[in-house]
Amino acid sequence: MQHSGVLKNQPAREKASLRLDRRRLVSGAMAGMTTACTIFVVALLVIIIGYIAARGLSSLSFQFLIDTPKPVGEGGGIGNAILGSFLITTLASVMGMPIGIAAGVYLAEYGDGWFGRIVRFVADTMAGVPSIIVGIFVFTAVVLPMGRQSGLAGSIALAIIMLPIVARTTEEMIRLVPTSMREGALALGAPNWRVAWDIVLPAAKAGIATGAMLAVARISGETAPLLFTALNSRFYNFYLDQPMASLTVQIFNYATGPFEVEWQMAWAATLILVSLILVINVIVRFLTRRRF
Amino acid sequence: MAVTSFFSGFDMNVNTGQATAPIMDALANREFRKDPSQAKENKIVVRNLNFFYGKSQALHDISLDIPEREVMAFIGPSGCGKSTFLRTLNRMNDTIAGARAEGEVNIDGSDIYAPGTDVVDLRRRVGMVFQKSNPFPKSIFENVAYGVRINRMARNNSDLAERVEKALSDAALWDEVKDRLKTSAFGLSGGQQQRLCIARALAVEPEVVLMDEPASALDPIATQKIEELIVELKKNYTIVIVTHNMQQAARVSDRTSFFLLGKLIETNPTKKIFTHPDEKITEDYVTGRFG
Repeated sequence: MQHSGVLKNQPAREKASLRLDRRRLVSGAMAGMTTACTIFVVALLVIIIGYIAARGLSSLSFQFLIDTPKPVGEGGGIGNAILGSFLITTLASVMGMPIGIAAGVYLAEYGDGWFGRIVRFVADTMAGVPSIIVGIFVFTAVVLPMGRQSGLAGSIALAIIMLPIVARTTEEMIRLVPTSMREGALALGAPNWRVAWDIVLPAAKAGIATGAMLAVARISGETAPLLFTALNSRFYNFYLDQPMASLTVQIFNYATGPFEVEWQMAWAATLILVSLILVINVIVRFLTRRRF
Repeated sequence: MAVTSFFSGFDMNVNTGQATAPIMDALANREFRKDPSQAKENKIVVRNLNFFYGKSQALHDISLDIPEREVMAFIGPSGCGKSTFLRTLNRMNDTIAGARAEGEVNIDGSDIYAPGTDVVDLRRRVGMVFQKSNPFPKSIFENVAYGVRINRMARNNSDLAERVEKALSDAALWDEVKDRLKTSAFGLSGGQQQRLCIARALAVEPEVVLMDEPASALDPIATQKIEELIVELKKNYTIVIVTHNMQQAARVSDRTSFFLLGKLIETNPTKKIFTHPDEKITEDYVTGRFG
């Protein structure tokens, strides 16, 4: 009986116990390293948000939130920029999300052929294109024919940036839905499209929403494509065919101005932008929380 | 020494040609119809079925009759094609890229592989219960109601509720869930989830229920419940069950088919398979000499 022979072998047992010690050591070191990295990442985030809050809170007031920009020394605020950002981002989401999600569903459900591979490759390439290039493209394709910059052009630029992110995350999330769940529905006599709509999409809902939120967060922070397309405006403006203010462009303008009071307002506007993204995130998490 | 001890455990069976004691107990403790050879009407008639995954052939020239309102069990070692064969009976293999079937599978006399077959309607008529319970991320009620809804079977909401209750009762689950129909199906135990999946399959009023190792992930008590359910269900449904557990086949099935390497070796009344099968290789398998 070979097995009992191994266990009775004294030197072999000592060797095994040495190996065990080494394994514990490596395991502990790894756990320590990953913990340290996590703390580093979270700390960075806390520092950034804390710094923004510290610098921004002092200039924050209700008036600042509703005023339009004024000449230096007369106060002024970011009311029209908040409205503009809201309108541009909403319109971009309305255009980008349905198309992106539908494309993701297509890639996951039918995208195994050559066409699917091409679409996937194009989406990955698009996701890597610098946003200013998207801005230049929309400037040529939309702004020049229209004859002026507009909120609509800004929305189109942001929607283009959003598309590949939403499509690819949707595809990944749908692929995570177990085949067994799909087969369960097929076995009841559900046609393919109903399986996708009734079972797969709801099961992947939380993941898709997270991906969509990441895309919204990403485009809310975009400045470069808006410089060419939505431009800016000093007034409250509800018309999407007109140039429109946005938080990011306003921050850019304040931050690059010559006066300290403008820099202060840039910090405050940054704080508002970060807070808004946070609030949207929390709301979407709440709406798409797992109920079943 | 090691060699003799390996075989000594099978001394009781080596020369008798009979299955192991637990299987014999299972056979002794149940009722069989007086004359199992007297065939009922055949629900499913398979002729010369060959099945391929791409270039590799998974099933070789299978011909088999499955009588209605009986339990037919498929046994055989892993990879012998019994699950693949089960999934050809409702064309579930259609979803696998490169899979291809040749031959005939007749259900009620019409070939389900004939062009123009409505696969969606076929799957309504031939329900399926899977190895791992796969409830939808919906409430208990909605899980059962889903099939009724997509097939537009309910006249109104109260009819729908009645159908859900009936299906859950038939699956012996109603009493356990009637007060929590609106809660998530994932809150149920593994055995309850599997009975929910059976209820879901029954709700669309199938004629045949295919079960792919329905109890293999369950504890003995849950397994017993599923087995009792199967025996109960055969009054109204034709049931085909794949199982790795030969005692289970002995307990629940009227007929048993033995598969090996993609071939159907033999089909006989269950008692005969486990006591004096026609084929030597079947005897070797049911007596535990390989597999």
